[in-house]
This record gives sequence, C-alpha cells and structure tokens, in this order.
Amino acid sequence: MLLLILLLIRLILVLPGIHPPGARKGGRKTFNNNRNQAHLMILLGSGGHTGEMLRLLKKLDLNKYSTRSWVYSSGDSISVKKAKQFEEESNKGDKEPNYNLYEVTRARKVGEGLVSTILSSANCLFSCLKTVQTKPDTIICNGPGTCVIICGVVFIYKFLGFADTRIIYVESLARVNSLSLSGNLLLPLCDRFIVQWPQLIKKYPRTEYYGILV
Amino acid sequence: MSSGKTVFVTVGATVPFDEMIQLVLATRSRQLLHDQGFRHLVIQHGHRDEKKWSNIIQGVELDDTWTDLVKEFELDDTWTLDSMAYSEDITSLINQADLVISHAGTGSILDALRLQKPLVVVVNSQLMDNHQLEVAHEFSQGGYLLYSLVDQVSFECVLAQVPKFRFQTLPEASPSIIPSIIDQETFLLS
Repeated sequence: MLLLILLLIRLILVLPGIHPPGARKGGRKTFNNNRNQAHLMILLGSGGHTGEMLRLLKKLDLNKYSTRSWVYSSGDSISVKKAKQFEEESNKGDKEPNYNLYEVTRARKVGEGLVSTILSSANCLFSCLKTVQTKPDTIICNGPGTCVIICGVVFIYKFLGFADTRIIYVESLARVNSLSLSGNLLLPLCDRFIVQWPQLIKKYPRTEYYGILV
Repeated sequence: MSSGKTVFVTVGATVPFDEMIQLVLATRSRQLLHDQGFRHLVIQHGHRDEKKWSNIIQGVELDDTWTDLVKEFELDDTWTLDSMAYSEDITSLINQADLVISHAGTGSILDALRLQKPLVVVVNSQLMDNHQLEVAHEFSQGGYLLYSLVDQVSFECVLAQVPKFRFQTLPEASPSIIPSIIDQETFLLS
C-alpha cells in the first residue's frame, strides 16, 4: 500500500500532463555535469513527418547542442540523407560535424503475421532502448508510431529517475480538428505539445498554438 | 520554351494519383486552361516505373477514357508536355509555373503556397485515414487555395474560378518558434 502511494507520488511528480507547460523550470537534475554540453535528439518519422520536422528546425542553430542524435526508422534512407544534408549545411564544412544517427526497427510492417509481429516489436523495443540509453536532454518528435515507443521508454526512464529528458511534440499540419493517435497517446507524457490549428487548443487545454510553423 | 503559361501538376512524393492527372487531361479542362493562356503542361506523376507511365500516356493497359484523352492530347499540338516520376527539385518546377495543380498533401500545399503560386488542390478521397479534405477546406477558408474533389464537374468549376480568384498570401511561418522552445526546455530558460 505504502509502495503504491509512493509510486503515485512519483508519477505525479514526473508526469508532465499534470503540470502546465513550462511549469517545471528550475531544479533540473544535471545528468550532463557540464552545462555547456547539451544533447538534442531529433526523431524523423519518414515521409511527410520528416519533411515537416526539417521545416520546423530550419532556423535551429545546431552548434548550441554539443551532441545531436537523429533517429530514423529502418529502411528510411531519405531521412538519413536529409539529416546529413542538414548537418552539413549548418556546419558549412568548418569541422567534422558532431552528430549520431540511430536506426530504430519498425514496430510492424504491413501484413505481418502474429509471431513475426511479436518478434519485430521486441526488436523495435530493443532498438528504442539502445537509443534512449544515450539520455538526451531534449527530444523533439512529430509522429508517427515509433516515436510513441521511444517517448514511452523515455518516460519510464524519467519515472525511475534515470534521466530528465524533456519531450517536445509538434502535431502535423494535417491535423485540423483532432489529434493523431500518436498525439493523443503522447499528450500526457510531453513537456511541450504544439499544434498548428487554433481549433485544437480549445479542445486540448495543454497544447500550445503559434500559427502554422512549417 | 515558347510563349504561353505553364501549369505544373504534382502528385507528391508518396503515391501516384492518376485520377487527378485524368482530370487535368480531360478535354474540357484543357480547353479551360487553354482559354486562360496555358500552353505548357508539366506533370510529376509518381510512377517510379517509367514504363508504367509511358503505358499510361500511350493509352496501353488503360480504359477507353484514358486512351481517348491521351490520343486527343497528342493530336492537340497547341500544348507541350513534360513529365517525370519524381523530382529532387520540386521548388524550381513550381517556380517556373504560373499555376500549380496538386494533390492535397500538406508538403505539396506548403511548397506551392510558400512560393506564392496560384494553387488548385485535388482531394484524394480514396486514401485511408484521410485528413486531406479538412486541410484543403481550412486553407480554402483563408483564401489561400482552391480545392476540388475527384469529380470532373467540380474540377472544371474550380478551374473556371482561377483567373478571377484573389489568392491570398500565406503568412510566413515564424522560424524561431520551435528553436526557442527547444532552447527553453534544454537550457531551462524562462
């Protein structure tokens, strides 16, 4: 019983959904002792998701973040190419850019059977664990499914006190009147949740709206 | 290229959308575009297999409508046609166009609107989990584009509106919003 109460208290402390966005400002545990070191993880969801993500980050000064990790789904060579391009353009060939690429196995391919679905799900979870193990300071994502698993793993790490990663989610411009499934699942776990149509802030109080961002 | 305006037709980077191309090639549509001074047609069709596209354009393996359309088009020497499966540089293709006809994917819509081109989108109602209609409707409410369903009459109606429609300019996205949110969370700035 006591354990249950303690777990509940921990959950209340950790769950961003209970706090208004941006409320947990001070008091961050410094997992990276040097404040000059910041680790940003960018999840590229393939196709239109990758496209929107790169538009969102267009003006991001990568040099502020000593480590950048780009995460892509297996087989998505276009996202890899675009991540490399982004890094090279922002570095202008000054020095060897300091970034990592992580491949995450897709959770389920279309038309897969039960046994192989279980196997590939386990595989997916394992590759997500490996990625999250790097304990980024901040993760930015915009769907689809794989980012839910990564953010879920991040949340478990936070719950157990292993990491203090901030999660930022930007809902796709394609979502006008309701959140996507990934968005719905991640809303309580995200520190910041940004939408691109005003209808959505009325419906989902924790979300933030600043106009079209892509 | 000789004189005359250019219309660029794009199906986006994911799947072919032959129904839309068929709408554009239709005699009535071509006539409407011709009346508005268009003479060049550039089509990004999404058929990775070039053979498939050349079959389509030659009317092989196709129903009668297609065959007729394509034959008519080829006989109609007032038009020039250029086509490609995909393009690494959609931006310059859009830049060269006077009108863009696109599927209703957000990426393609933004590409055209950011370059301030008159835009007609065709909503592919056959896609699963379809939010294209919502997006197209929302943008058209702001006067940024015109949209049509896969329907010849509705498409012709929209094409006829193009010359007198006052396309609004989409406000620039503020590029610093997301970077500053990332900074706030990473460095705990207020």
